Amino acid sequence: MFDEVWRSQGEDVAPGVAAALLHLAAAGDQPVLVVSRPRPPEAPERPRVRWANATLAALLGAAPGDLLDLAVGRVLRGADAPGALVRERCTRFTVEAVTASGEVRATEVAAWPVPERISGFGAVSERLRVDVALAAEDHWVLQLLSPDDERSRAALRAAEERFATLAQDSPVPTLVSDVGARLSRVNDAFASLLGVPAQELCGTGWLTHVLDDERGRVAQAVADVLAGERVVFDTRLRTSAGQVRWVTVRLAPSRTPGYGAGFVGTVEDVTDRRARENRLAYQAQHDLLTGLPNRLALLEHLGELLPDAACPDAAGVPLPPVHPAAPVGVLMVDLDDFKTVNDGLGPEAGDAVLVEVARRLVRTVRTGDLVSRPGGDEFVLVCHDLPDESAVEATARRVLDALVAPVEVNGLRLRVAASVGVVLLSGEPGGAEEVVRDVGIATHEAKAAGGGRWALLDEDVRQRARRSLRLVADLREALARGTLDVHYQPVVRPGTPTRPHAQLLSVEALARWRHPELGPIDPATFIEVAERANLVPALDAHVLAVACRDLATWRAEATAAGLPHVPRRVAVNVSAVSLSADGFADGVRRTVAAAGLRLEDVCLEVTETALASDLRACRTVLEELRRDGALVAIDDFGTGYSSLAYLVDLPADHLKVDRSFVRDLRGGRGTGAAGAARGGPARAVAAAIVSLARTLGLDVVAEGVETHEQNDVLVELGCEAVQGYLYARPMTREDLWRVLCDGGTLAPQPAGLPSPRQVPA
Amino acid sequence: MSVPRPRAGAAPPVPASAPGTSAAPGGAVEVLGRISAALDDLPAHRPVAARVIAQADDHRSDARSLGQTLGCDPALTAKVLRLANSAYFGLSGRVSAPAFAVTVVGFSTVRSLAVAAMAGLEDVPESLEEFWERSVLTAVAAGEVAGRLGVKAPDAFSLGLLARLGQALLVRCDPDRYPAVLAGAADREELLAAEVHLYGSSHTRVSAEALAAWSFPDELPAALAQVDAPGWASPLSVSVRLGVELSERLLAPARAPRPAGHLSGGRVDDGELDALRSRVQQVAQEMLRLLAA
Repeated sequence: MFDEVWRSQGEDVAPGVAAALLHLAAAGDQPVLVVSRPRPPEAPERPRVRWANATLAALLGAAPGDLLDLAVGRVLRGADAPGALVRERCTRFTVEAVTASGEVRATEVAAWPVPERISGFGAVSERLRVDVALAAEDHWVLQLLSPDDERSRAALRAAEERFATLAQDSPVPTLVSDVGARLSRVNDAFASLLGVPAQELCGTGWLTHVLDDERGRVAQAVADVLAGERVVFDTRLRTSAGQVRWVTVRLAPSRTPGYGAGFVGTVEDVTDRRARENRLAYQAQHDLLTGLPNRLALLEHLGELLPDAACPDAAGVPLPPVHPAAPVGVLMVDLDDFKTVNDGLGPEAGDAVLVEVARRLVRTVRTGDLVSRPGGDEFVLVCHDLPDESAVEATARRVLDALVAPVEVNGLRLRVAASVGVVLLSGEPGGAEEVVRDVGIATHEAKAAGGGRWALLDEDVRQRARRSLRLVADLREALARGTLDVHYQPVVRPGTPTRPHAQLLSVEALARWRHPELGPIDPATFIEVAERANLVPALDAHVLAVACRDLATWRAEATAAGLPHVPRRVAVNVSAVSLSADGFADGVRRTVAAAGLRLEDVCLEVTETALASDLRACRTVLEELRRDGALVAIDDFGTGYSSLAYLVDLPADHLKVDRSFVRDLRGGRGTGAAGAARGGPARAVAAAIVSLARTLGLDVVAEGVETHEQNDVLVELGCEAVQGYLYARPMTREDLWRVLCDGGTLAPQPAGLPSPRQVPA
Repeated sequence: MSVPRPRAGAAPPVPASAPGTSAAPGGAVEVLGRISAALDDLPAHRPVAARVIAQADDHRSDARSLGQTLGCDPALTAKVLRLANSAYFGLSGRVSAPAFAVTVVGFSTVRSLAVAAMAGLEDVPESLEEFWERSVLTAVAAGEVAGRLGVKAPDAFSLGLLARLGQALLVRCDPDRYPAVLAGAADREELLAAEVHLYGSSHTRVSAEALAAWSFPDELPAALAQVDAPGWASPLSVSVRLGVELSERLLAPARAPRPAGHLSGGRVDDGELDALRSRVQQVAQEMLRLLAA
């Protein structure tokens, strides 16, 4: 049938047939042409163009018709070279395409020989029922491979090969997937990491080396990278030798357009590093002497038990409140005389005791309970399932009993006693630190009760301890924000029976603290808090600064608005701690100068005790300030242990007679020795102090004057300045302002009749 | 010669004078004509699959656009998803979105499944016993050897899956005679000889022609055409050759095996090929279950 078709067309239609055949390619965007040359044994002739599509013509800058019958070597230099066009197979070669404008461009050509006879297969196309037995001429179809395409493809291939070469020789285990999770290539480093030939790892073979329980995670990571994310994860691989290696795998997505998505990955063997990290992590969580969990581990463990606790490694995952049915007990074991062992027998002996105690404690608890050594000679046990007080007691007893047997160290049998404090986790939210603090309080109680015993944390004790801890924090904050008040107690020239009103001379500045929630805090309490938290220097500095500022204000008012009376100076209390702090004198100078005052305007009140404790240092500081004009008063005089010898050298201007002497003063007016006897020993002491002061050239201020009787005695003794409730309690600056507006006179208000200006202290 | 079909980027015509084919005897032309008509008609019956095939070859496509198109054919989508979740692709149970499934199995495999759907291979006639088993074995085996030949495994896999497409077309277009040819052939070699005798062309050539008709990238039909042609073949073609060979060794143990070295120009030997047996069988079994489901 095909032969018939062929015969009906006749030999002369061969070029037309070829064109008809190839018009199919005309619509294509690939540059195509057909060439032919006479078949041997005809005279050898150069191949000529029989047909060209529009794309090829456009490429050469010509019309398709212009190219017909041209020797192909004229438009594609090199296409007629021997061996370029052969009958036996397809060929590929490079030619120089010559455009109409004479431009020459190197390009690659693929040439297919057109078969002599069409086979049955070609007839599949109903649209083209022609045979192409081209008897006289050999035909070839030539396709120019678009230079851009070729170049970019070559560049891509080169890049791929470069990458492959680099990866192949890289010491970093590398994986490549073209599509999906199936690897298309792995390098030698990865193969040698697992000890298997690279081929076995291609496809999904590599996944079989992932440990079973990790495979899901790895697959998920691969799914993520295929979805376009970069992923980094740690996992474990089993080598052919059965060894497990920890690896960090980093995968980066790689997409091939029109092909799919794969990834490129590196695998880092981190087994050794991980082992090191594990060791460090162990060390970070354990006490190296006893091998017990350390403070950090204890806090983490407690954090996990506490509802809503700020657990250090919770990593944002809120833990469900792991509150077991029966409460958890936290026991702190504090060795009673450990310091004696350590100091007396040396730290090695101390260590041996700790190790032995640790060993015994571990044996007293149940599985799941924790024995930790947060530090020093303290051990903390976290015991689960203590349903009632008898269980708590049994546990505490067990701990104490475990320590009864003497510990042998260097042949010596040492008796180790301990105090045990117990806290039951209440289920209230709170920090692990707080629990440890609470159990410390309980332990302290047990120790205070004589040692060798246990104590469950008492709620009152806890409240007290907690409150004081809270006060420290709040006081620190109040000082930092400068919200502490300063009240003033007037120092007055006392009234006499004939002239009962007293005249304000100066004021003593006193710190007062109104807690935002707890209300006014007793000064004794907060000063103790300040001492404990080392806040005294800050407190002193604050009071000095406020007092200086207030005095400067009053002075300014006196000049500008005619305030009738202004204190001569302000007195502030200075503690021994402040005095001995570096830069105290400079601080005072700066504060005073900043308020626009001079040192003469302030009086530093120092307790006798403070002076006694560090006399030399304090004296240097005080003398320096006195030399520049500041006044110094010895507070609470008579309560310390001042020897007369050093009194002479005291760097002071005033003595303040302690209230304890004033309190017992009785009226002794009238009759000589009998009167003195009636005034009692207090009067004698007061008289002696006043007289002593006068002898030394010091002024005297009597504190704590509450009654007319005390007042009168002091006046009689020649005391020219007093301070006390009889005339004024410490008052706010507003109240003092009113006193100053009234000219600074104060009417006596004997005890029992509260002054209208009273401020609760 | 094999006639280039009217389409952009015409494939290099497969030299038709290669041995293994001969001039078509009488009656063959009608069959081949019916096949040609079927190739033109089938896309209209499964338009979504046809669109998937076209898109998979378009460099502007990405997994999302291909997944979107795929999603319009629920049966095909289910098939791709099941395949993506097979152990072969390493992500069992993690693939639920069509676009992601496309990413996991690769465009080429999606395209092959679309061809299978379009050619009606989901429902092969009884006479094509073990059609899918052979096809999947061929695909898996071709994918496994691909790496040794420098071929991308997904390409070899997807082409292997379609190597026997021609058989289905022959059954459809010559229902009277082809089943008898199938039944009468003792082994694959006999079948090929009978096909060439009857139609002038082997079923792999018909497969190649179908791929060319459906606008597969040129190298794929060219490679399929070389599978049963003796002599030099592209590496992709060799991987399919070896895939076919291994599938026959597994399913027709009585048949005399053809030497792998000969089939691959010495690149893969029999030992290497046989070493893949159990893995290929295992993977293919799972995949077969998923594809048949």
